[in-house]
Amino acid sequence: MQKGMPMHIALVSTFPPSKGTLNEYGFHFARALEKKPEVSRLSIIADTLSENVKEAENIHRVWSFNDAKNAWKINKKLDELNPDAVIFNLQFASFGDQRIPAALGLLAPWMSKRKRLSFTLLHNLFETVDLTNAGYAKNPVIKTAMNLAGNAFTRALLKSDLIATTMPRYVDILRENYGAKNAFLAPHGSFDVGHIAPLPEAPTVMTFGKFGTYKKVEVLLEAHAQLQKHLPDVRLVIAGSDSPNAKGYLETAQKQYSHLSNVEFTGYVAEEDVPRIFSEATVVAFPYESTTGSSGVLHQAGQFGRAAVMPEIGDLADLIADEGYKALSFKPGDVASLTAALYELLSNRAKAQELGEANHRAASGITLDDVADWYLLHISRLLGQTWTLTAQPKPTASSTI
Amino acid sequence: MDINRTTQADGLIYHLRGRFDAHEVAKLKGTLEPVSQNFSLDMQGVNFIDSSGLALLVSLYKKAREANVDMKICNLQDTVKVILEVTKLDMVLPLDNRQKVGS
Repeated sequence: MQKGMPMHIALVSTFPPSKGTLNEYGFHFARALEKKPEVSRLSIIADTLSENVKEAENIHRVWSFNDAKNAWKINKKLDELNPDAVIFNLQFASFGDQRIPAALGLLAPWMSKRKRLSFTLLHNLFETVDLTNAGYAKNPVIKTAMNLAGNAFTRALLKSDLIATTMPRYVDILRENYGAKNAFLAPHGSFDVGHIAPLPEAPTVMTFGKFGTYKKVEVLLEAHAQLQKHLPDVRLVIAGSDSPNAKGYLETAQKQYSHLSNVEFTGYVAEEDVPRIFSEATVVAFPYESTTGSSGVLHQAGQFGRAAVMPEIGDLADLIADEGYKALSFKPGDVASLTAALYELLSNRAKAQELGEANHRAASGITLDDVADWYLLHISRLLGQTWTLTAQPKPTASSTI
Repeated sequence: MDINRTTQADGLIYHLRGRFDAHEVAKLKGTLEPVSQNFSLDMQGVNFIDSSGLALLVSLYKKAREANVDMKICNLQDTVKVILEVTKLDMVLPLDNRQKVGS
């Protein structure tokens, strides 16, 4: 086994200021990798922006949402950069909301594997997504066709040297349904975990994300109306934008509920505003009807030490069981049940604080910085290296952040 | 979680008992760090480990390598072995499958 040399890693991901799904994860993951002494150089192969922005030299804007040539473009850039290993940060709709470009893009890891170590972090699986609720297939024929295609493209993704998923259940599915020996669990990890800010004076419910498919705000707005009868100063903050599959959804909801007071629709939340949005909340609500992977929002609630109210469904229930997060639960879609859970926390600050602290401990237990170590351990092993320990000077021009 | 420490000729042995999870990690870190001499983690009494516990094992391993000391993880229960296998950390962490003397 050779002594480990610092590695050149490429990360294929959406990346801010792009607003594509997983952009924040890509940003924080890049930052964690860049700090590691084992990584001498990090190249980010990111999605294109609508306007030119001055960025660090190691960010390469190469591929575009809904471009059928993405896999080819990404691999052309990889050939040019020649990294030791490439990590793809993906979910099944990373490359488009149109079926053909979305599917063709998922061939990129397989194409890359021919020349270098190819590593895929897959945040969701076709099998675990309710395609109808998530807005991808509205009729049964399309749904069946998508499932078949999903199966085929999951097999293509499994051609990666290693494929990581963030939920234990997903590893079971890949191993049992596809016989995948290269699938393993790498937890989501939380972003920079700091101190817990004091709870706000006014009881405040916040929900965060991209809405309109399986994340619906109507039930939350109805619950807000009920809460106001008992807590007149209660605030509701709906932070985020429309899902790419539900354009115009939030604007319609805002008009429909314009009679309610103390409701704020923030629109897209930029990275620098995320701490404030969470710190100004007493409780984070998850008005989900189904899930599509580990919840980045729950990890953020933990990062900022906030209590959560969520339906006991799929991946959210798994996160509670597997990673030590705590939450009050409600029956999905049930206004009375959601109202009761929110009231229990809004009317009892000590309890909200206690759950927030528990989530903070869970988030502190495994950060993205820790997760990056797992990836580098696996990459070093596959490259036949012992773990490199000595920090190497890095060229400042390659700094991302 | 209970932690008992014994000393043997080849280093320290920490006997762990209970749940190895997010709510115990801070206590464990406080006991096991800083890493300055050879040590083994006897996990015979650990029947549950979550991702926070795994992260601590990886962190300890990294610190042990940096300090140039040996670290061994031994006496794993099947429930913990399953978690290490599903994360493939069994292929990178220093597991000692032999029953540790004195455990």
